[in-house]
Amino acid sequence: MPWKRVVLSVALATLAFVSLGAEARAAGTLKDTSTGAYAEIVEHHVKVVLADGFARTEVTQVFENPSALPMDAVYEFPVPPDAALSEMKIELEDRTLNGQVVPRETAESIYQSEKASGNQAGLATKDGHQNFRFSIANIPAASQATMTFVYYEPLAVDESVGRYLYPLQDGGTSSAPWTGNQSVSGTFSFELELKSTMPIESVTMPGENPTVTELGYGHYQVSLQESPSNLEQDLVLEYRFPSDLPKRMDVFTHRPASGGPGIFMLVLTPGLDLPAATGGTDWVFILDTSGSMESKMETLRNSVQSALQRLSEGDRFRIIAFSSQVQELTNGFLDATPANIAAASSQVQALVDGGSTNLYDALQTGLSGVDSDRITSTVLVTDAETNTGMVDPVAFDSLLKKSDVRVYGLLLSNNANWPLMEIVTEASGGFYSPVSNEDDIAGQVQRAFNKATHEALHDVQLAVTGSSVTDTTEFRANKIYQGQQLVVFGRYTQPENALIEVNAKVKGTPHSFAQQFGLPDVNADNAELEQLWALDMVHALEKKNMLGLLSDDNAKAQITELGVNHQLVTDHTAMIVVDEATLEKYGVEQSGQSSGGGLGESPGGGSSSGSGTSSGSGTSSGSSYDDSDYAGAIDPGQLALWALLLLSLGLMDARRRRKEGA
Amino acid sequence: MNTFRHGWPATLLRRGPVITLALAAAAVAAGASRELLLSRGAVLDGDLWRLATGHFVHFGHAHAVGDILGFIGWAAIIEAISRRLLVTTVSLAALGVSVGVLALCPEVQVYGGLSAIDVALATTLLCVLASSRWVRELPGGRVFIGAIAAAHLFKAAYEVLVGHAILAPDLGAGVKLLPAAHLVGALCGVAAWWAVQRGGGVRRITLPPLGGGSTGGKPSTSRSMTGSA
Repeated sequence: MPWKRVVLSVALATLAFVSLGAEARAAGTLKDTSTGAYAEIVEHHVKVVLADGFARTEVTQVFENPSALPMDAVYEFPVPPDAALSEMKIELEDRTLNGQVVPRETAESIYQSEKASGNQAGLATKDGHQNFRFSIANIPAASQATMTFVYYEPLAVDESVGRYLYPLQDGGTSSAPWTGNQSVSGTFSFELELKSTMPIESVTMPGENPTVTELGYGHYQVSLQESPSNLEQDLVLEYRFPSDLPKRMDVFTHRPASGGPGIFMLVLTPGLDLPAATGGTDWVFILDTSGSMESKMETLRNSVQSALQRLSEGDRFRIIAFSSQVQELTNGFLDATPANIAAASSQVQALVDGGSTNLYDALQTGLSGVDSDRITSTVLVTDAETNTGMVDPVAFDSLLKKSDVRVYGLLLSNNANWPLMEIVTEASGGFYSPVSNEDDIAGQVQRAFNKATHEALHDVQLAVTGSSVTDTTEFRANKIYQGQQLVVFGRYTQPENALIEVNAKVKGTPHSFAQQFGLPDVNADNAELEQLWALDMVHALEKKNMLGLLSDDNAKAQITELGVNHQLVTDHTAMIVVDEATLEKYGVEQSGQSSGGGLGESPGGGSSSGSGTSSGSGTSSGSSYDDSDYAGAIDPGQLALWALLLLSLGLMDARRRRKEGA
Repeated sequence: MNTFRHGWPATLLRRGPVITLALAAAAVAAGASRELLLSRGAVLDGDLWRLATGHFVHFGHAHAVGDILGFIGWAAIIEAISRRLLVTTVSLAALGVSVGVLALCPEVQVYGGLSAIDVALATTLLCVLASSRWVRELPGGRVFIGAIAAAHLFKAAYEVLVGHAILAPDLGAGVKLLPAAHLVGALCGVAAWWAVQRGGGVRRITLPPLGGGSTGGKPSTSRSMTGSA
């Protein structure tokens, strides 16, 4: 009977839909773009080196195309904030393809052309703040392909805790939802080498049971192996330094023997024990309960629960939940009494996800009704994937600057919109912390809370000066919080002693710090600094573009130039992965730029020069890049000249009148 | 001595520099608001008001103090001479400098500050002084004004050539001086002076002496601008 087939079809479709919705989304999935079939992940190996200040992650995956036809496949990987994808290699049965970064349109054109011709090719692109997307065309039938890629990211220590995350959970916020086979049929391995110039007290991986071997002073090896494995959960590694870390500054440099500009990276550890803020605080909790938070609701509930428990007598709180609409759970501010906290906790536990994300309206509500006599802090828990109402970053920037409320963001999910959160928190003088489901949630919340409940260094002015120093990190936020570590990049063209100067205040009392540091003529180590510096510049340009301070065309031109010159995959550049002959065919010059000594090699360890220093810091200095602000200025000489002119005219006039009178 | 009873100082005191103070207050109110800065990207995206508002935004205390003090000084004098001249100079310079910066300085993405308008006002005042009978009749008056104008022009041209200001105040981290804006401002000042004269159907704005007297002592206003041989 036809109706039976209809009912059966509907039932099967419903079942498929339900099971699809219930499936945990994960990164590391490879699927055939034409058939929707999934390639099998045979091996997945991760090799990480954490040197002082930055991490190098090399990922090797072996895929098998089980079908009898060539396969085109797409692999997505969440982008860690500030990560620079720098190398990619695809090994097929009979050939090896290497990556070359070119303008994105060029890369896509070459890839499509090669794909249409039936040739093997790869393409790596970056989709905004969300994913690296790797496309591989024409994986031969019934064969294996090995893809290897390397990315770098800067590391900063917060409250004496360093944190590295290997992202595997997809936030479920991709505009093009994808699911697939995230299991590894063969071996999954994770090997991490930690090299620190500072002593380390402990190394842990929450939720995992790794093998941790101490190889020497500050030198650890962490191994994890599973067979088979599911790539569903993030891997988080935390390493703890002694809590009484001294004030110090580590300097990493790279300048090739062939000459040209050198790069330096300063890692500043203020090591300040800032006093706790006194007096009661008003806390506004703004909680994202939109559909994109589906897999993170538990983390959200735990985060808020943990924060509420930390409120003190004299504090007040208010809780606002939002998705498409804004809903206030408390009727205005409540005193932080045990009864009120318990009642509010129950309401938070009952929150369910659904709807879109109207972050702007939620912030607008949260920033209203503030008592100007009390200090108000806002804790925003979201994936910041705002998609309803006002979405313009400029409007967020403007909204936050109008109010005297600091916003502290707990940013859930790996592909959350951290650039927007950065704008929101920076405009308010706050900060944001990324939080993974696999993190020590309570620890993360505690660290964020400590910052909010302690005095901050304010009015921070930082300058790095040297006769040949240029292009230093732009630092617009003027505060440094308890436990915060700062990373500053810059370039130089000749060996010299440069100077870093920091001027700041704590509760109005000036704190200053100045220290010289050496920039060597040649240092072959730390070649990856070149790309990290370039990424820092790209980040600054993207932020200016988001804030409407840089036109799209101009931003694209500058980012493309940086991306191609420094072999970085950005929104406007992409990595085409083909053989040398194909590159020649399309007239693409090979840059020869390669950081960290190429795939399969570890970076040359960090050469640091730790040193005791005084109080905290911030950053910035004049940049020779086009992202500076420009102004005219009336100097005192001009004003003096005109005062003299008018005075002279007056005297001349008076003299003439006297003569006329006489 | 009736210096402050007649002439433009008297006008300044009697009528009050209303427009000058209103514009200066606007600059103080604008503070360092980035939403009002002249931004190439934002202007291309349609925020045309930034062509005017960018001049009223400053990057820091030191930057604002010099620019606003200079503005009050020059604008108040010009307002006393002629409000029409003041409005024309400020309007023309605001738009002219913004368009000039965007057109001539492709490396500039963000610009702010009143200084280019200050330079325009100073140049306008120089033109008024140089062309006034009163200054011409002062012994050595024209030479003196000519020397000041030459120094003014030399400074602007030199700064454009070397790419930085001779006496640069500290504008804060990440902010660079743009001498070219001053040069454009000076040209706008000359143009404003010329336009007001032409628009008024007169050949020359008359500047009464500090104390009135030789040219009648009547305070100059836009209505009282008269031609002089």
